[in-house]
Amino acid sequence: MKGKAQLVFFLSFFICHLLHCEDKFTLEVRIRNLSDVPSTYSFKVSRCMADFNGYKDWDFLPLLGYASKNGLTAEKPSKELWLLKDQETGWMKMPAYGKVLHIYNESGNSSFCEIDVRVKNKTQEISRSFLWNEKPKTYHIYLYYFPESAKPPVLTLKTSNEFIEETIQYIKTEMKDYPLKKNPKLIAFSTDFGCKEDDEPEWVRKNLLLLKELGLNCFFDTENSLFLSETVKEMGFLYVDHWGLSSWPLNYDGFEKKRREYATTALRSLDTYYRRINRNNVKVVHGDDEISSGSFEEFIALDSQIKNLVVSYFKKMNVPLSDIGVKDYEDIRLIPEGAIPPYREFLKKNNPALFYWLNRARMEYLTDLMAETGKITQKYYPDAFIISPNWPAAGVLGGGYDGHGWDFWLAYSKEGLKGIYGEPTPWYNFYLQGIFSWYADMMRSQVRNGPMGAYITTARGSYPCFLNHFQVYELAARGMEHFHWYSYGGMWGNENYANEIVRDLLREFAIVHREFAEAEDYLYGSKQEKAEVAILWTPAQEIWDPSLHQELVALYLILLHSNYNVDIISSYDVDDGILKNFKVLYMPFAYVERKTFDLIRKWVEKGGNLVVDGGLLKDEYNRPMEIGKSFKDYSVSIKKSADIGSLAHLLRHGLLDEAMDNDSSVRFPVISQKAEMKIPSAAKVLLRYRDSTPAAIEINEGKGRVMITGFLLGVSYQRDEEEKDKPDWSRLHVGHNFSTAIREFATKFVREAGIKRVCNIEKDMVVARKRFKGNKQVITVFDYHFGKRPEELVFPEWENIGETLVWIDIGKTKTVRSVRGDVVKREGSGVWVKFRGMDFILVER
Amino acid sequence: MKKCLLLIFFCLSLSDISIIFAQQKENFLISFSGDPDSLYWVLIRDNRRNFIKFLNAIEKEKGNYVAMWDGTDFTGKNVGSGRYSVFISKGINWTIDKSFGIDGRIGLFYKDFYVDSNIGEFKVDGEVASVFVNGVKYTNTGDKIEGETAFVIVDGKIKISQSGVSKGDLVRIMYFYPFLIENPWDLAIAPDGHIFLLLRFLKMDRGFYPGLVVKLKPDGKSKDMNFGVDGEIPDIHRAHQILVAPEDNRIYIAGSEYGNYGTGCYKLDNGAYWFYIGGHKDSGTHPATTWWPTGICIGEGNKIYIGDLKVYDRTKPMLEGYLYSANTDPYIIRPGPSMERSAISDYFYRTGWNTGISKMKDTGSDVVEIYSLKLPFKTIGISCDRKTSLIFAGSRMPEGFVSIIYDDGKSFKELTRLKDPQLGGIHTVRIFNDFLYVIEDGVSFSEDGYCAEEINRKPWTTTGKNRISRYRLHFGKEIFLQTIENR
Repeated sequence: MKGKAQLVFFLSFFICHLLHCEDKFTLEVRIRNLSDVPSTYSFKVSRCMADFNGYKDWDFLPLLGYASKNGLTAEKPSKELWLLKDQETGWMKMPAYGKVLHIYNESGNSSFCEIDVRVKNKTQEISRSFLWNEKPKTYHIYLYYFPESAKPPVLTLKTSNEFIEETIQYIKTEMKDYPLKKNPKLIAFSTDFGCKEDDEPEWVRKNLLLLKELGLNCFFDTENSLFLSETVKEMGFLYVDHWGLSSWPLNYDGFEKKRREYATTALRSLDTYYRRINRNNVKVVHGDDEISSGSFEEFIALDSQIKNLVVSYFKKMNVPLSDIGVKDYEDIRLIPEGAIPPYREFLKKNNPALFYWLNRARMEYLTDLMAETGKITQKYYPDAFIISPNWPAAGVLGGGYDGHGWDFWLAYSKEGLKGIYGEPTPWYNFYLQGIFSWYADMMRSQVRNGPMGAYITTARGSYPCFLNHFQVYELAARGMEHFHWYSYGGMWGNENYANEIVRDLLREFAIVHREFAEAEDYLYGSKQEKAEVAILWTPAQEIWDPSLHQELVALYLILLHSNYNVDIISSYDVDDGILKNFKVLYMPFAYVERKTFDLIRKWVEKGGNLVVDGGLLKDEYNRPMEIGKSFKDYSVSIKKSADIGSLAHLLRHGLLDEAMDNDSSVRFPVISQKAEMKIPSAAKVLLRYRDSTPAAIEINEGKGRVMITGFLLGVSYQRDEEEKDKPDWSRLHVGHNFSTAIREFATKFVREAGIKRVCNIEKDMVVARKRFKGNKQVITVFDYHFGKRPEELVFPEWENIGETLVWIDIGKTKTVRSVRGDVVKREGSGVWVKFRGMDFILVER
Repeated sequence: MKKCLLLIFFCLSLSDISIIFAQQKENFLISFSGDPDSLYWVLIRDNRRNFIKFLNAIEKEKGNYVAMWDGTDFTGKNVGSGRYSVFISKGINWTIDKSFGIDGRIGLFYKDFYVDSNIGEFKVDGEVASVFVNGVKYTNTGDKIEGETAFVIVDGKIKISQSGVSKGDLVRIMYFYPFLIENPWDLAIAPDGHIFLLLRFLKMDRGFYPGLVVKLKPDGKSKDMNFGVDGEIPDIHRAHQILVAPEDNRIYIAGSEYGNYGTGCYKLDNGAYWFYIGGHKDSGTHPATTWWPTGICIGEGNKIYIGDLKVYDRTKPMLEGYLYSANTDPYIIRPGPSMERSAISDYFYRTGWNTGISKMKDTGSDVVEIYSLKLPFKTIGISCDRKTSLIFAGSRMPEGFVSIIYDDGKSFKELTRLKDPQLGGIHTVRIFNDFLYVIEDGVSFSEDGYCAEEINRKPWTTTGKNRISRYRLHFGKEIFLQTIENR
């Protein structure tokens, strides 16, 4: 989870600093030896990667020193400096950057001592004495905790047992009068928490009891402790998750060699004595954690070592010899004579066809390996719900074919992987704008509606209560049936989170679980309402220019906010004939495979509506392609100022132009790239640049139509919103002043194709998704204005979320009820529902 | 059981055998006449002809043989009252079982060709190791023939550099059948006849190349590809002995966990690693440390005996199942590679490369030697036929043979030797029903019976035969002697 870790670290670090939520505090400790034998002790703290002082370190359990007659020493003291009976250390100042102080008996005898601790910050000063007598090897003292997320910590001095007991009581009290009582049984809610071999069994049990009290029904049994595995079983968790098989390290040793390597690892690790305890109810088997495949440049540099791989793939794909400029596949030279690094640039320029096919050969191999790990794992876990690597959602946004973005469509199209498991990371530039919907729809599309699960990542200080609650609804609305709260605040350190128990977040978890228990009969095993609008993703674009990932997401948000069902499809899907299901196709990418585009062209001629976003169209060899018969006179030249990069700071991009309609009611800011178009005479100009040259056109092609925009629709939509709200990303308020006019323009074809908004909801930025299961329906409804006016900034805390009243078309139904809100009244074929943020509407026909 | 006090004494002539049968006190004395200087067995069967006990007859006087039956079955338990039949059988022999592998053998083979008009193309079944032309070694150059002394294998055919080969040249192909079998060290046979073959290390090298376990089909002609990784458990490090325990669904491999000297435990059905038993702990000062897990055998209940005589509960991992150790200094007696379970509860056999064969007893708190036999040849691999109490010991002499040793409950006695001029130094043997598997490793040996286990001390070469041969054992025809009544 390194990629995610880094991302979250930077965010947490940034946020904590700016919010000043963790004021500096001081820690002092004094130990008096009460035992008859000389003793010494060592001290460690559980800390997060970024401490209060901004100090960062990967050491989550740093050693603070040892107790001696001379006070705190860096090294273990010699025996003459150990504390004799009734001797004390005096007050020892320690770095105060951890939530739990761990004291270890280093003397080899039983512990009997008095520990005095005092902690102080700007507002609190507390001290307490603890008696450590005959306890296990380690004594734990909680120094602070967070009663409310995104608020300063409160100092405390509690033993680990006291603290966990207190937290259990807190949840019991909070849930006592909560109207929903059931906990989920079908939808899995999982978590993990680290414990160590020497941890007190009773404390471990209490932690698990807290998880049960919250309503978790699944546990990630990483087998770091046999005792923990056994206790999880004893405590009746319905499901467990396990680690599976990793494809790492990915290299080009050859498929057969790697297959044997994976099979050998599986033989040694997937069916062991330690796994036996919980292996019969495994829900998810996690493959790779972070995926990294090295770079394409490294691949080419292997030259003759990979020639067999390349040649066999080229033969299999019947790559035309003339395209790659050889008479025989054996004549292929990956590093042509005279080429100098970077070879990729040389190939791009001198042999674009070879560049493209080498990329495909590499990805075919890498995805074969990935699928093979799933295939092998299935032998050991035939009944698992999901067998998948952790889909690097953030990587897809930031990576590409060359890095760890991967061609997951290809991976999931192969026999082996089962379902998909994602790591949707809070991506602040899309914070609460629908990024988790995108993640889920992206995953759903790749796995073709197969089983899905996801980590729910939380950086404390990022308003996690509302964010997480909203997020799981966004995911569930698209078919997610397994959720992992990452990571539960155990006592021991963890890669990057503050990792303490944030009490209001635990309460939020408990509520989420109870709501899902209420809705799970409707959600579990349900099918999503079909989409008639699709966005295309192509390997060709990934290969030639992965920087447009951001445009794909932003374009998706336009369709999401417009409340249309939308699928993200790939060239592979088009090649498989999926286009017949859709009326409108958006191509946010310039590069598309010629074979695939031939199918798209035919689809348009038969009546399809195509939106070419950005004005440019090129094939997989970087050659311009004709859009259609009506485009004989069409030509385009592109002015590109910069790659889009991260959408969080679109205001940084210089405005290249504006695209406007006649009365300027529709006004797109043009950034990043601008196409100057010479248009066919039959084309109708929809928008013009400031100088009146065409910025967007529409043209009939056979029975269908094509819209071409000379700018990027999605990022214009985002940029326009930023322009209005001037968001300060560091403060995490969320702007949602998206232009309805821009959205309406961008979805012109959708409306004109007669596609209905989901549940015929017409309220601006209120979005629904409908799922079916027999005579049951679940409509998940969201307000992306959060009950506020569009121009109002939103702080994503419950107290700032307003109520939304909306009419939802539910058709003929017997019963309807709301899980979170109220069904106010029935009207026509629908109901008026009042809710805050999001809701499940449960319908029986 | 009430012992029959009825004296039975008779004499009969049957072919060339005359027999006298009597009961003395609580034992049944069986006497008969036969050919002098011959090997006779006595078999006791119940009235349904089920096997009860196998006894070695001793030539008391020239041509007169006796055997004593103590009224127990082959496991040492007293048999019930009833009628029992006595049979006599003469001698033992073996023949190579040609249905196994290639004419009874698998492993390393050589095949000679003379170059004729089809110059430079040959075919053998199995995996080619080396090619020699007129004694000159040729090198496998992969895809393309490069150089005069090179060969490649394309579509299963060995193509030799034509520039270096002339008509009439002798081409010798050294190959392994049915796959690479280097340094076969031990094998175990499952009840269904599948063979689990332990290869100690590959690449003809004593280095740290890991060995593996291969599951072979009973005919020895191919792997069972559904098992483990393509029929194998790879990465078995410097292991010594393998045994299967169908009752546990387990395979135990002595010393397989290289680096911690543990005994690996794997699942019999799929080859998956389960855990290891014993191994190092606390720098070896822990009493449960297994330093020399060169042999293993399972005992009563869940017990397993490991190498330097530690007793473990085999259902528990690492040191968790440790029960007790033998008081004998484990650093002096290095057993193995064979430890063999006896038919009698709490007894087992073991070999040591300089200690001969010992019979051991588990007292419940210690393991002690009862008696032993120092043979005039070195043996490191034995196999015990629990029904007959016969122990088969492979000799590690240059001309290998298998010695048959009988345990009468008081001592060992070498009875005879089975020979085959084809055999070289034997690593170990395994008996399964009527078959005897003879394993020759790839390590060469000295005239005095140099042992592979001495490789840490002496230089060695890799010219051993690398083979497994399967023989069918033939006992003489059983001749009915008499019925006795046990009351």
